Amino acid sequence: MDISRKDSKNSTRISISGELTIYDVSAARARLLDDSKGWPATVNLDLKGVTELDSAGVQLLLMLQKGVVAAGGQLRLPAVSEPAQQVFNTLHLGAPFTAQGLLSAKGESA
Amino acid sequence: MGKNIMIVDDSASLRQVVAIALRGAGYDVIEAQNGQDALSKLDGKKVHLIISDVNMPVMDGITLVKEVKKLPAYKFTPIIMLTTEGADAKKKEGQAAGAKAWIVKPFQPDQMLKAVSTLILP
Amino acid sequence: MNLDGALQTFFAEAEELLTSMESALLRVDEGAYDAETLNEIFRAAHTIKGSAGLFGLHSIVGFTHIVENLLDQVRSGVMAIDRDLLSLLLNCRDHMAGLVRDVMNQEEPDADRMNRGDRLLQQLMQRLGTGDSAEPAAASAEPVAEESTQRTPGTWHLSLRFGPDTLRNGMDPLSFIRFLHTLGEITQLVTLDDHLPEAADYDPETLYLGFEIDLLTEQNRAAIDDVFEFVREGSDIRILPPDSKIEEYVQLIHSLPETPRRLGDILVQSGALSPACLERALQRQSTQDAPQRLGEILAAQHCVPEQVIETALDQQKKVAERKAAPENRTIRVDAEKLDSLINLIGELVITRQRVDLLSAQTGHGALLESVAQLKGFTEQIRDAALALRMVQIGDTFQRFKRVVRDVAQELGKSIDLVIGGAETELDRSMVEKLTDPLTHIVRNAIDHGIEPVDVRRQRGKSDTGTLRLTACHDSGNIVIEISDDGGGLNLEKIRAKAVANGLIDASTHLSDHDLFQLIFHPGLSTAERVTNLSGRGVGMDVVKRNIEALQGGIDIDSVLGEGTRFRIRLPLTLAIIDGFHVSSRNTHFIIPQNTVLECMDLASLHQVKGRACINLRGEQVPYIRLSDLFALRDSERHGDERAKLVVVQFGQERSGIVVDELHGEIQTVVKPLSPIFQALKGIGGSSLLGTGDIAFILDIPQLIELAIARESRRIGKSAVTQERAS
Repeated sequence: MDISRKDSKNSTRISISGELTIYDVSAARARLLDDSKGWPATVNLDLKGVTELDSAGVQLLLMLQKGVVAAGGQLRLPAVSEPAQQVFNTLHLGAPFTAQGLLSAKGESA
Repeated sequence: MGKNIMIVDDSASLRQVVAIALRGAGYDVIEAQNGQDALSKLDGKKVHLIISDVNMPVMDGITLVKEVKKLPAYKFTPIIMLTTEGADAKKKEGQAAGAKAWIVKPFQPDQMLKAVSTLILP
Repeated sequence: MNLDGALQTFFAEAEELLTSMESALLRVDEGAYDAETLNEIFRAAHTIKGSAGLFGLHSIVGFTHIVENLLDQVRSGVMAIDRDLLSLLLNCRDHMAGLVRDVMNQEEPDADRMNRGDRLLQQLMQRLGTGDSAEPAAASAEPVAEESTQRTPGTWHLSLRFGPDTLRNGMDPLSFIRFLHTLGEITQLVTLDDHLPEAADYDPETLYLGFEIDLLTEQNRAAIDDVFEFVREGSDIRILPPDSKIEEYVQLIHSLPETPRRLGDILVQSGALSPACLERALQRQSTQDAPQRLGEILAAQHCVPEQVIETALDQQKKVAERKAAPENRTIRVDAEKLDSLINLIGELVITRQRVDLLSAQTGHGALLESVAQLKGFTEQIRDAALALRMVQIGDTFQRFKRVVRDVAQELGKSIDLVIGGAETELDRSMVEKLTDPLTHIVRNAIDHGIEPVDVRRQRGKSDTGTLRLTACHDSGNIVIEISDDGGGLNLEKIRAKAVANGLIDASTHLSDHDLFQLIFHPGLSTAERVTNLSGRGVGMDVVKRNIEALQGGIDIDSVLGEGTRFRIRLPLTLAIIDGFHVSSRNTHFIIPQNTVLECMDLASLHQVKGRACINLRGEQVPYIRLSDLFALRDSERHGDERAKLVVVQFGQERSGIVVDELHGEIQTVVKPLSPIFQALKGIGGSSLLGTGDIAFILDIPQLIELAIARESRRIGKSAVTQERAS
């Protein structure tokens, strides 16, 4: 798992690549959550390099979104890899994530 | 690329049957004869599931679970334990060590296949 | 699924396990009552049951299950092993072996087997008390029949709240959901993130998500239930069938931790509840105190201890150390494959010899060098191949622990079996043929050799008799000794019996050694009492024949009142021998190299007047002429002036063999004799020479015996008779 962050004036781009599973979430949490102070309103989450995603990874992404939303911002998913998209589909998570009520929206069928 | 499953049992015929069933369903199978053999065969390989007997010579299944849970690269690998009826004490010990999936011997190959599929599809 | 190959593995494995179970039981009998041994016994039954179940071998599973139950109680110390229980367990082991054999031979267990099984089960049940029965093992192998009639598709509602440790245990809700896809169609799925905590309280390895799922499937409840078999404990899994009543949905809403509104909306969306129903349910909720439960569950989620991983590095080191430990790797090879390899190598050896001859004719230096190299390698290959077939005799010896125990118990004797030289190796094919003769000698020793306790006491011996089984290598042979500290052979009784049976004249003088050898004659048994164990005089002659068929010999030594020792001498292998090539009247013979002592010109030797006997450095050695023995003749005249004498030895005996020519050492492959030659004394096999000629392999023990017998007859008859000149 590799996480990189690029800040620009109005947005932050976070790219996650590699595996985002239970083995990685403890390390990823530090990079994603503890680091979220002072982000601009829009956070673009680039998942196109994600090769494997499991429920622990999904939870972490949801936590990230929760944090961004709580801070009055918005999380966008400009790029999602095939493995990650399949997981979102299986869990009927709306893709791309939307700032409001992403989970209460009915997702695409798997 | 198939998912790797490791079957650990001192019975060669049991391993063979389980391997035939799993390979037939599209999994890749690694065989090991006991806990120690299993640990040496993990060897950094990606293993998606471990199926292990409890009662084995050299290193038993409970010890294997404890050892696997200590390995950072494998501590979240699901483990199915093969047990026998009435071995409740062993089961408790194994569960405490982190092995939550138990299959009672004797089982049929398709029973095993189905149980495996609930944890990981090929 | 083709399981034939695996079934063969099962047979081999079962045999191995049953052998180790037996030897462990016998160790217990000898006083080893340690956890390791008890566990070994348990594990044998456990493994056989488990594997048999995979193949659906219900007869084996059913019986072994009960044995396993009892062994488990023994292992855990609930039940102690006494002598009777040990006998019962040994009998159970035998019965299991019988059941496996039946499957192997594709036979149904016969009435005898069934009765035996029933009897053993009864005894096992008595030991176990009445609580247990043969049913559970059989039942668990059968699929559950519940709701099996349901085959019309319907929408099931699943509420899944997995335990907080689910992810840590290596299980992922995603997997279960993916598997549900294989059972039917997921028409609705809602992932509930209601319980995600604040960032400060968030443990990334704890599971917070819940799932509400509608599954359209024709599967029954058991099939859906089974999906969650591994997570049921610690999880809250609710499954509502398609025809559930509205009250059941409402009850579900109220019993789950999320807000009723949330769940209600989901159920309305799935069509399970109408909006009106939901409103009614929610009104009822306001009078209850549901939120408290939510709080409780969240609290429970938060008290998950962090995994302690301080010692992880330490453990990794240990694992690495273990890896370095040597592993005893073996592969199982079909004995037939090995035999065919050895046959091929035999052919290779012959061809190599032919190449040897041909290349010698060319005189081509480089060719000769290569051929010499080839010779070296062929010999190494031969030795390596034969070594593959070598097995330690220890396993065979171990089997006798059981024989000794059973026979001794039956006769009320107490006997210690002492084993020595268990690591001595010999050809696997010999081992198989050795079991019967050894068994007979061992039984005889217990039955007739070792005295009853009262007699032993009178003789000042310990109550417990000792039987020794030892093996060692001795100049290309394996020597196996079976000795006891029993009563010894009574020479006078043997003589009397031999006279009575007309084997010898009352006046014949025989050495002690020759008298002992008489017990190998058919129809001679010195036991006054006939038991059902060693029978009536049949056996020792068969033993001798069996040993001789293996190119071996058997000797007895005995001291009256002190004990008897049988010594069996066998070649290490029957497949290929190093031989000494000789010829007589243009017929080729091979003398096994390890029996050859020396060669010399017959003319140079001092012949004992009037006898077929030479004086070899002060010792009289009888000899035999191959031309006489096999009535060989050809057109040439042969005189003794050019004849050669080969001195051979087997065991203690020596004799000379007179031949025309010596050709030197040769490596040769033993072929069995065709049936018409088998009656021929003195020939053990045949072999093809590099030249294409046939050579006969001499059976030296028989030849020596023949030479000695002829010579003693000659002395016995008359010293006057002139030795026939050849």
